[in-house]
Amino acid sequence: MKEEKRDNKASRKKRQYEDTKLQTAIDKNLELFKQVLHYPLNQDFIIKDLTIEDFERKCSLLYMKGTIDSSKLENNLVPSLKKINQIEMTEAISCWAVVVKQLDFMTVETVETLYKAVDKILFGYAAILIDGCDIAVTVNISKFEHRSIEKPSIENAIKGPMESFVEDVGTNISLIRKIVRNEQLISESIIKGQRTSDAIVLMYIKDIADEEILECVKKRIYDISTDNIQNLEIVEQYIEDRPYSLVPTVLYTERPDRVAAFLQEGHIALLNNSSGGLIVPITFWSLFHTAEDYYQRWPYSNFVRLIRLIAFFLAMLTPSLYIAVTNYHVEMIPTDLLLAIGASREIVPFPAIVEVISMELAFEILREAGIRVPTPIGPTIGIVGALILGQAAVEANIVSPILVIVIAITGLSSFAISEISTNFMIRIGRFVYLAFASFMGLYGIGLCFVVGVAYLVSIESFGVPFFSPYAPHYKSAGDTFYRPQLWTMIFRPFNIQQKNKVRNQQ
Amino acid sequence: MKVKITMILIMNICFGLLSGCWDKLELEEQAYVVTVGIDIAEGDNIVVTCQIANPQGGSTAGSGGNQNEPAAEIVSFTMRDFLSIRDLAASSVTRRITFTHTKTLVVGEDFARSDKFYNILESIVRDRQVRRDTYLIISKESAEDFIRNNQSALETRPHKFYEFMSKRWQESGLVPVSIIRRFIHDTESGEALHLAIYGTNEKTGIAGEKDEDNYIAGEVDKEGGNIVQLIGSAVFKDGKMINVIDGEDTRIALLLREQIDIDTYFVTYKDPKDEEYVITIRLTKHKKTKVDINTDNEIPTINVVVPLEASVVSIPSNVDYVTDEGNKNFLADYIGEELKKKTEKFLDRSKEEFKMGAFDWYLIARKQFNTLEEYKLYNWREKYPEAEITVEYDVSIKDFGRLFQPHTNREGSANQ
Repeated sequence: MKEEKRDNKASRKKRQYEDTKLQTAIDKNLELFKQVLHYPLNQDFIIKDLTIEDFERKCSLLYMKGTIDSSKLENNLVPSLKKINQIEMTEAISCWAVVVKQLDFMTVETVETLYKAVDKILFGYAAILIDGCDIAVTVNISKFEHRSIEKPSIENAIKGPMESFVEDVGTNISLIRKIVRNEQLISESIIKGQRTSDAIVLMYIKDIADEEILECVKKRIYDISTDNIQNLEIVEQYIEDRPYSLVPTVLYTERPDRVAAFLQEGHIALLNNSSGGLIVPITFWSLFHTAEDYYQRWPYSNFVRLIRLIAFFLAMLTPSLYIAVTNYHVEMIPTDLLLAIGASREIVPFPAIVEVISMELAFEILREAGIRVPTPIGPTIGIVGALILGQAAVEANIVSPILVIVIAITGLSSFAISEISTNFMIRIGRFVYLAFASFMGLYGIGLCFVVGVAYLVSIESFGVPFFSPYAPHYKSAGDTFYRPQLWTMIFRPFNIQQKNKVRNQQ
Repeated sequence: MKVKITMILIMNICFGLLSGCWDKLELEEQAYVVTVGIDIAEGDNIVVTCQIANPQGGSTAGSGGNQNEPAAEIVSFTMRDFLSIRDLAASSVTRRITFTHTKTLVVGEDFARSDKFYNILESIVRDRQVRRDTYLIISKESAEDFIRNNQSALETRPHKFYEFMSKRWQESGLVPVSIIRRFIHDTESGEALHLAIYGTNEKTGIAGEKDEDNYIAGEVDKEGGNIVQLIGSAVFKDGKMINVIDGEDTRIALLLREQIDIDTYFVTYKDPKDEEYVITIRLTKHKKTKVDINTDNEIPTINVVVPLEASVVSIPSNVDYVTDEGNKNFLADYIGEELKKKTEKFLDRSKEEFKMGAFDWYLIARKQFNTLEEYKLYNWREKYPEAEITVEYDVSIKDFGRLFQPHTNREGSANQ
């Protein structure tokens, strides 16, 4: 109900000038444009009167400053317009056809409605209005400023490509096409709302990607109720399967090589003017793996995966295990360790759970502060934080030294999980485990774990079960916890697609 | 929707509140008893001694902690039952008494020889805090004396003494590694003796000529260090202590068991070729003992073959037992014979004096029967003292080469 309402409201707003056709008289047209684009007020909107020799009719060039490449305007567009000769002009059926012909080395489109023309102008086109024509000729001279390609800042790798996406869809597509040179690679543009500027580019390999999933993705994008999508990070939240869940069902990556690898397995990538791409559908393994797993040699990458798996559990369970063992199961601790913990705990005023929660909180604050802190004072925060968390707290007898180890190991392990959503999932999940551990000890942790696994297995991302191909079982390359040798990975995952099961072989 | 969410929330809260095990207790609020001693007292009473580890004693951690505190507090209570110590101790011990880290149970010999012992032990095992793998030590004097006098200079913390000692026991086999679970097992079966660790803190002096292992606790001639001695074993029959055997017999009993209960140990023998000297041998039981039991006849026959690997460690007589094949075999046979003699002596004692074995043979005998009924009918307990037992030692000499040769030979070979 609510969504429908919003839809109507949004569309009503557009209709104000959506159906307005361009007029024949240039003055009237200019008046319309000035009205829509708030001419004198908006100083970026430029209207240039063009004088072409031997041509008597009035001509105007309309564009938006900041969206166009001025060198293209000055060096290509204007000179070629000036070269139009009158003979052609008079002989031609209509003037705009001559202009189109003259500019055929550039991207030229003709538009008939005011709305589309305005849209083109906003997108970096220059519109040419000719007196007596009810059609505007638009020429693409767009240029938006964006970063140059930089190294990935989240998904770092020691070995492998060092490129990451930038806030320009053209560049991003080019980065992928550079890797996947395949005639079947489709990039389909989905225009959200009426504005081409909100386009989301869908990339997939046609003979691999599953049509059902593709339809599902398209439908979800069309269903987005808002008409202004800033970037992919927001799209992610509109199309995911479980918006209230801790578990992510869409993968956000800033690595083109990773997107390319997913495309070849039958996944679908979403691109936009964003510094990342989205991958759907995903499984738990997509979150668990990193790009580098495939670039490192077999023994190394499996070692790293094992370490990551351990870090995964350490980050999630260490504080709760500590609480469970010290509060409920003291018989599990070796006597020496027990006495050592006991000796240091004796002078601490708080129960262990308060200690853990306060230290966890301090660590999370430090982490958040570390992200938001202005770069020049960043290192200071690190030093101060480490001092407060570690030495000082222990010396003031607020926490016991063993707890600093527990928190440090937990924090360190959580950094080993590079995928941001998974990282959050584990960091928040840790507190759930902590609550259960403090109520019920190891029994509580076991209970929570069983429920957690059951929940994860129940999740689906665009119809693909979260833990497939492991559970439910599908035929696949077996690339889950363990990474097989590359040449043995001949199967594409059957849980993602059923069309093209075997990888290209020679 | 809202109602649903509220319901789920309420259910979750109830779930947490109702199912939580509310025996949560901070670790520093508990007093960890590392050693328990039980003695007989007048009337129906027993004396329970608890050695409580002090976390801050002997620790280097603990900023602000007092490192000069003693490592343990020893308290003794006289009462009728063991487990009520938890409440009685509250009269003087600040923390809640916990037995989860009790690694050793010391029982005074007087109490072990009394009828009450098994009842009390059973009640201890019923408590879920007590570990089933707690070591059982029988002290010649009262357990209280034993615990109070056991002062090891090397180990400040009291549990460390038993933790490290248990590893030595496994190596040397001079005492059996006796744990409560096994004690209950042996006793409940009604067909096996239980050998418990025997110890004392009183030096009694040496009685007669001794080799390296035929001591019982108190007889070891040593000066300095901890006055506690643990060697030999207390023999329990039907949950009651009946006798003491020395270290040598303990080793034999362990060798006769099927499993490997003894790692490697050193023995000295009179040099068979030169009676003036002794030779030192290191023996290793590297495989399981082979025990064949035939229960077809009225009198069971038991054939035991103990595999042993021997390496000659010292040869003061300079007889070449290492490279000379003849001497080697001779020595192997000699060791086998020597061991056999001692074993037979011990087996006679077990048959005639104890009338029970301590070698887990009843478990092997039981396998010969199709049903438990048949086995019970056969009555192994009655049959064992009459059984025909033959023991063979299959000794092989290992380790040879220049380093193990007597040095006179070595020079000779060097000259060649």
